[in-house]
Amino acid sequence: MGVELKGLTGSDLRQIETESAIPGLWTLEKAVGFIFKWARKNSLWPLQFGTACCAIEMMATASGRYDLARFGAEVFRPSPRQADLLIAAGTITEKMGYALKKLYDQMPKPSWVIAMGSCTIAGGPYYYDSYTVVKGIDSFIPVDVYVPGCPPRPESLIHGLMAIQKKIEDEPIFRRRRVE
Amino acid sequence: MTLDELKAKIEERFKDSILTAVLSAQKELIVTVKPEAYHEMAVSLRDEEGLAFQHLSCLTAVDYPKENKITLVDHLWSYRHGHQMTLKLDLPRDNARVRSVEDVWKSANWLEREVFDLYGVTFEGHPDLRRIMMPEDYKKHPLRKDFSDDGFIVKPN
Repeated sequence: MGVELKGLTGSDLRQIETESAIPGLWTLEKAVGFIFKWARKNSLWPLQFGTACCAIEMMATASGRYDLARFGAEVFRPSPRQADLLIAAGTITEKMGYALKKLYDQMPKPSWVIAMGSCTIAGGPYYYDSYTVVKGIDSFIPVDVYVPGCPPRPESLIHGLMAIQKKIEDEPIFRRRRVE
Repeated sequence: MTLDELKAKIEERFKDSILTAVLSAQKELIVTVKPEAYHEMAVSLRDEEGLAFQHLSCLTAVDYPKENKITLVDHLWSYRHGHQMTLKLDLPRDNARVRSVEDVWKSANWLEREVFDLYGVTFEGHPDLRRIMMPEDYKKHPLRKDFSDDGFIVKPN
């Protein structure tokens, strides 16, 4: 950094650049990123995808009492092409796994995934003695946030959504995700 | 018609086809038939006036690995007379094949597909014998007692 301000070292300046609340001191990427991230995190459109009892809690979260609309994520889309948040709510069987993978692949990137409930995290109560249930959806799609519970309360799902928003804020805007 | 009368009637009518006919403690008539007489007997059970079992309410199977047999179980119900019976037949475990009763009772279509999927019993003459529950490229039959798979975790004691 060529500019030397009185009393400030280079590392101080870098800290100002990255942490300053004054937009005039930001780099271009951070300024553009601020707008992108603000837009992304406040208008997450979840995919309307529920396979078991977790979906009931997801519906309760979307309804008036818990009001997911406060976080900008109330627009449940029936098409994966219009969604950027996949809330995998409910037991995923092996046969459903093919459909879930296809839905995830059809979502425009960047997209985020919440694994809601024990079943999607590790198979849940179907871990033992089950020949159909997938032991965790992270074996075939990347998962950002795990929301444990059987099923989780709406507050937990909202907390998971806020974790996604925090993650969007923290990560670079030109993130590339590797899809196996 | 009481169950005893029904039992006597079936024993009399299908003398050559059945192996045993018993009344269980739960007041159910359980008839074991020879596999080769199964389809013919199903048609008679449905069509004859005094029997008239128009409805196949359940078709399933039980695996007995020690006795090396798979038992097919049909539950029949008559709307006209309000009586019911259970039809059983034993099939060899390594070559479980039997004539389909899909042309007798249409409800057997999916039930036989289910038994084919989970127990590996082949139904000859079934119009659409595909897997109904497991993925189509699946190879095994999960409800057989000796089933094991990579994703199948047995609970520790």
